[in-house]
Amino acid sequence: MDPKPIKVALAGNPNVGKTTLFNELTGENLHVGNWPGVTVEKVIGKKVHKGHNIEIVDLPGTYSLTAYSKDELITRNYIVEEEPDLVLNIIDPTNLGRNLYLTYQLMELQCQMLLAVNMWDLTKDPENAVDLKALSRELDIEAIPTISTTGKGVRELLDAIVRVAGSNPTCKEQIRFNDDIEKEIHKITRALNDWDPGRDHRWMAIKALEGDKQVWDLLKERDLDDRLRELMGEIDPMGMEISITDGRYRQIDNVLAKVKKKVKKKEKISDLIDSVVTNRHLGIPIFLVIIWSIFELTFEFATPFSNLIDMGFGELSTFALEQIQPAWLSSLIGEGIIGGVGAVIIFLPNILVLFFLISLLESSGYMARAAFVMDRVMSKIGLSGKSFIPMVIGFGCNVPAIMATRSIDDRKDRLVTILVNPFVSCGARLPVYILLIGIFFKGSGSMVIFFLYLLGIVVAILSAKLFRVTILKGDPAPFIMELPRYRGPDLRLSIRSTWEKGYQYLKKAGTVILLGSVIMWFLASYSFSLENVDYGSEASMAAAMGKFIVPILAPLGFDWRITVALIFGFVAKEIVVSAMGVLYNVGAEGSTLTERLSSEGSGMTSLNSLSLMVFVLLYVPCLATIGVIKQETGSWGWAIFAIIYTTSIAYLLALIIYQGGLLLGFG
Amino acid sequence: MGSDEQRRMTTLILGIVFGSAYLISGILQFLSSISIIDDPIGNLPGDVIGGSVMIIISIIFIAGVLSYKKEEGRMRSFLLVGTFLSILYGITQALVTISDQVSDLIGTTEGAGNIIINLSAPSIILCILLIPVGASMLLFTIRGEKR
Ligand SMILES: Nc1nc2c(ncn2[C@@H]2O[C@H](COP(=O)(O)OP(=O)(O)O)[C@@H](O)[C@H]2O)c(=O)[nH]1
Repeated sequence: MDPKPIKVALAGNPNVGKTTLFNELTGENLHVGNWPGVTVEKVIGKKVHKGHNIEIVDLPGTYSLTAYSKDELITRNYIVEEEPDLVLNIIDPTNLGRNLYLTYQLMELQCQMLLAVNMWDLTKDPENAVDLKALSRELDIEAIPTISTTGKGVRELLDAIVRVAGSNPTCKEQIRFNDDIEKEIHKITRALNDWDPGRDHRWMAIKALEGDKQVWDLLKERDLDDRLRELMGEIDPMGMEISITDGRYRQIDNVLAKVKKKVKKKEKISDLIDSVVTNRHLGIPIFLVIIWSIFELTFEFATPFSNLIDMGFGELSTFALEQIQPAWLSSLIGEGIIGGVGAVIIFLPNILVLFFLISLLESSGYMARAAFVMDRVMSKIGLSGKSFIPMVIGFGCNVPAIMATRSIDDRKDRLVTILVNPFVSCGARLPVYILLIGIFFKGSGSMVIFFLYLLGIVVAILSAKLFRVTILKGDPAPFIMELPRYRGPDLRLSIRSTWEKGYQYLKKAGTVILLGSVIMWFLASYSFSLENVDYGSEASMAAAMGKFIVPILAPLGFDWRITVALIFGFVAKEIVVSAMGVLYNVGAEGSTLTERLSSEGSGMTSLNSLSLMVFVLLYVPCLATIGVIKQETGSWGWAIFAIIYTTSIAYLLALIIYQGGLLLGFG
Repeated sequence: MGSDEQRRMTTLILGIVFGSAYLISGILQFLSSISIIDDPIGNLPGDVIGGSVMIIISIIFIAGVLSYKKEEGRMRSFLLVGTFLSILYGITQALVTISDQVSDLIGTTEGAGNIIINLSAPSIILCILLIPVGASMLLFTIRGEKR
């Protein structure tokens, strides 16, 4: 038996059936799954075939070999450093173009290669048919058809592994880039070969031209970086990277033209729709129309139902105040609990409508398109489109949104995404908007809500940009995502998820907010010497606290009651509404919170309510969000940074709105 | 539907008809919402964004019409998306109109106006007309995919 095993590395795009094929090849049983990270650990299998020992390493599935992501670095470092006898590249014939992009990058590494064209069963469909001979000829690599789910072709593949690994390395076909680039590549390759003899440096030359960070670090280690930079002179690395990528794609198109049979493409409804909704010019307007419709329904359609609940609580409160004895209990129940908890429950219909519509949109498959469309905008200002998905989840709640950033590999990308997520307006802030808009912005309600949500996104994006050029310098990793097929709305799923969200909302009202309301009532009913004072009067503890801090917030147009409400809103943002419900209860029996706020004495105007809404949108993330920021970043430092940063931005913008509005004569 | 050419003409005509209908009513709704023109019937919803939405929809239809030289499928894809947005907007408008009436009934607001007139807003009428059109395009496309 051959003492030295043949080392084989399996490389391929995600989802090409690599894990399944690995199991077939080695006979070992591995878990097959789609979960990202399943093959991130290095998995090695062994096989004896016709007297040869074969050792197979399963590399992570990747689309490319840049230095941008962990998986891609693992893959290429393994091939460069461990120098396996053979790289077995598994490709999926139904997605040949994308798969060949990796194949060409592997070829640039000048390793011995073998292709397994997996999922061969799917090539019966003329749309997926591949001319294997032509493919093999064009790439100058032997190609074996396999079906890893049935094990077909595995024996032939093992034969080929032994044969190819034993043969002399041939000079594989390489991409010829355009003349300008080739000239540069030659110049650099020659220089590197001179400086560091003993190996061929074409791959390093290409990567250096692309501005690959890891390769430049390596050059620095060998003290070659300054010399090379001098040699390269005035080359624009961005432009180079784009031209090189372009060169690869052009080559791939040539190959595709030769190996794919021309079939008249069947019209797939997903593709038809995608060509429009991801259209360069129409994509964003379409997204805005859809989001606006959601807000119009959330606000305008749900409001009468909220009003009904509001009236119900008004009656209940009157009843409690008139019928319950002793006086303190009647005040606790009527003003504290019903006033506070009721003020939050009122908005259940709006919350239900919003979550129902968002879940419909999510399950339809459109959200992935929205992320794709937004990626174009975000990448223009240097952000990754991957950050957009957590943003969309943030419309619901920032806590799961921040957890969802785990799917972002790049540490800095992830940190930026976490830090800006609290600016995305979550469901808990909606009650504040609806309460105030219903009073001060009648008729243009959804426009104001739309504006607020948009403001949140804009502030998030600009902040991300700011972080990217200051504390978290660097470029985002490129974003590749698969667009799932469109599906008809799944009503059952949407109703269940809406019900769950509604239940959580009510549960929060019954626990945190109930507690907050009781504390608020206590602070509004007693003085510091624990004497019972007139409810919500200037002598109460709440007033004293509010007045202590109000000088800071007065320039934003807030009085002491709002100040107290905002302080408690730190626990959960709905509490701003419930606290206002408690604190504005003063001497206005039976009327609804809406009526009380719109009365002259409340001191609320459309100007300071706008300032308040903007402040609530942007200021301190709630307690739960701060906790999850700490947990996900692993540091209190970032959590505290988030508190200070968000509050400063909120203060600044609310100040501009209020003072600007005063100057312009509003308010 | 008949031959390819017939189908192409049908798609083209639908695109032109609905594109111009949405453009005109979008502009009217926009202008009346910023009080530049009067609304004689009273069926134009008074929000600026609504008018803009209709104009965006009309642009999608028109973009489809302008691509008539390419494949019919491409033109149809614009029509499909335009129709989807029209129906979304029409339903939104209708639900909001109904909820305004409910508000009137329970007495939290006044002056929701005549429900029949409000429900005759161009966006709602066009939406009703587009529902069968959208459904038949969708069925046709799905059947083409299965074939
Ligand atoms: N039709 C078909 N499906 C396959 C084949 N090989 C794998 N699959 C399926 O493709 C999916 C992805 O397989 P997996 O091994 O997890 O891919 P990996 O992500 O590349 O490791 C699984 O659902 C497999 O059942 C094949 O040869 N033909």
